[in-house]
This record gives sequence, structure tokens and C-alpha cells, in this order.
Amino acid sequence: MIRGCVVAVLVASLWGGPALAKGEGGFGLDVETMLIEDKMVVGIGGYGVYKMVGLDLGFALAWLDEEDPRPPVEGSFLGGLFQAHVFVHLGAMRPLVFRVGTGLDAWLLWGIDEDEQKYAMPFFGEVRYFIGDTLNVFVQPRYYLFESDGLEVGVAPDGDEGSPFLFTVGLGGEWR
Amino acid sequence: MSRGKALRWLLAVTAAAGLTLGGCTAVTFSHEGVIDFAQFPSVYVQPIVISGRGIFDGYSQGLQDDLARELRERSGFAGVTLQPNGNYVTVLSVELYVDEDYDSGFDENDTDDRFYVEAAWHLRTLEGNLIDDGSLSVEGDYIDSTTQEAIGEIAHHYLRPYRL
Repeated sequence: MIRGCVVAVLVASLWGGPALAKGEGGFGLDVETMLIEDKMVVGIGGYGVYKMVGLDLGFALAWLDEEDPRPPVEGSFLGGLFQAHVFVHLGAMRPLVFRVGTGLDAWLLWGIDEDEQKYAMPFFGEVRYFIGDTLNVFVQPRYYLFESDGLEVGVAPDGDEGSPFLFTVGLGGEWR
Repeated sequence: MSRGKALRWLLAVTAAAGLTLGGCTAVTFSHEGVIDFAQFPSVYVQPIVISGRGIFDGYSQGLQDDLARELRERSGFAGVTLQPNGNYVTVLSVELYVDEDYDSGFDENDTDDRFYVEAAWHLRTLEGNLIDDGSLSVEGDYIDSTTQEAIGEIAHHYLRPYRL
């Protein structure tokens, strides 16, 4: 995992790109996926940023990778993930932009039960690489500071333990 | 596409693949269940005791049916019955109290009803020993949807265990 991040940053450094910020405020749109074992999480998000601070809202849908249904999920659909984050713009080393943030992750597990929900408070970092004035790619590791009972990051259903960091990667557009 | 641009895309795809293959984290969603459903696999749902405003004869019967249906669909009970002479090992009793807040304001045509439902339930063995109990309150604009929400939350309380 760490090797993957290092490769991504190296590629970003090789890629090169133009200048970033032109004004004090702006907004962006993202498509993103979370890198989770045996599950697929794909979503969209949007954010607004003014000077150093921004608000990011996102929504994703989650599925089990397996074809065979595992009760109580009848198909493979698990539910949705609503994300509301605030972030701070740490700075930029062109073409890279660095952010950190926190907020709320709400896992709405409709595929399990209509009222089943898990919540978490993440802390995340984000590296965003600008390919042009607008287009960018990003990687966002996050760690859950607090989470509901029954939401375990870094633990597989069979009990195997691994890294507690969740990674999101995506493609975005930013307008300033 | 120039050679340099192609090389950048190739590197990006390689990085993305490396990150994807090496960066996946395990995430588990689970629920243990509020009771041991292996020990208590079946339940008899008693007629629901309901009181308060806006309640009419026969309303309780519908709610009892609804609760049994919800428990069959969502709970960890393998067997749910409405028959007191059926085969079961636990008994679920539910009490609902409905209150209504009626505010007509200045305009008679623009009323604003608000319904409040308080629910309390007890799950007991056939000998009467308490296994589990709970209470909740919900509110809404319509009596049916508000009582249904309370029933749904009771069923969710007995959600079947899972680990995914």
C-alpha cells in the first residue's frame, strides 16, 4: 500500500503541470472510488473552498464484490456512503496540493436493513495533482478517529487484521 | 499522442494499478444481535396494547400483523407467530402510546397536526423471565406513518446478526 502511494507521488512529480490557484475561492467536482477489499465503493463529490478552508460533500454507493449473496444481503448491494467533510488547504508544491480534514462518514446500509447505519469521524489527508488548470487526480488516506460499533477498518470479516487506513482515489475538476 | 504523453499515461495507469492492488483495506460491517437467536429462535408477538389519541378499534390488530411481518423480514428470529398456541420460546409484548399535537393557527384550512408515539417492549421467556426490553419515541405528521416507524424500529432492534 505504501509502495503504491510512493509510486503515485513519483509519477505525479514526473508528470508536471501548470500553476494552481488563481483566486481566493473556488469549487470542484470529483468522481472517486475507495480501495476496499472485497467491496466496491464508487461515488461523486463536490467541494467549495475559500482561501484556506473548504467544505466537501460526497455520496457513494457500495457493493460486495462477491456474486453469491451473503445473508442478510440478498444481492450484492450494501448501501450508500454520505460524506460531509471540512478541510484545510495546507499549501501547494506545484502541481501538488495538500489538504487535511475531518467530518462525518455515514454508511447507510440499506442493502442489509433499511434502518441500518454506521457512522464514523474521519481524519484524512489529501494529495491532489493538477494535470492542467482544472483537471486533477487525487489520493486521500483516511483514519477513523471514532466509529460506530460494528464498523471496523483494517479488519476483514474473517478476523484478519491489516492497515487501519482507508484510501480513496479519484479524478476531479476544480474551477477558481 | 506524443511519446512523452503516452509515457505519462502509462506511468499513471501503472501507479493506479499499483495503488489499487496494494492499497486495498479490509472494512467489516457487523452486528452481533441484541439477543442470542440460537438460544431464542422463535417469538410469539402478543396483541399490541395501544392507547392515546386517534386510535380506533382494530388498529392494534393491523400493527400486530405489521410487527410480525417486519420481524420475519428483518429480525434474527427464525420463527415468528401470532398464534398464542403456536410453537415458540419467547413472547414479545409491545405497548404504544399515541399523542397528538393539534395547532390550527390563524387559518382553519392550514392545520398542523403532529403525532408522537412512545413505544415500550419486553421480550420474555415462556416462564416470564425478562430477556430484553427497550423503549423509543418517534414523531411525525401522520399517525399511520408514525406508528409504522415505531414498529419498524422495534423490528430493527432485533436485526439479525451479520458480518460482511
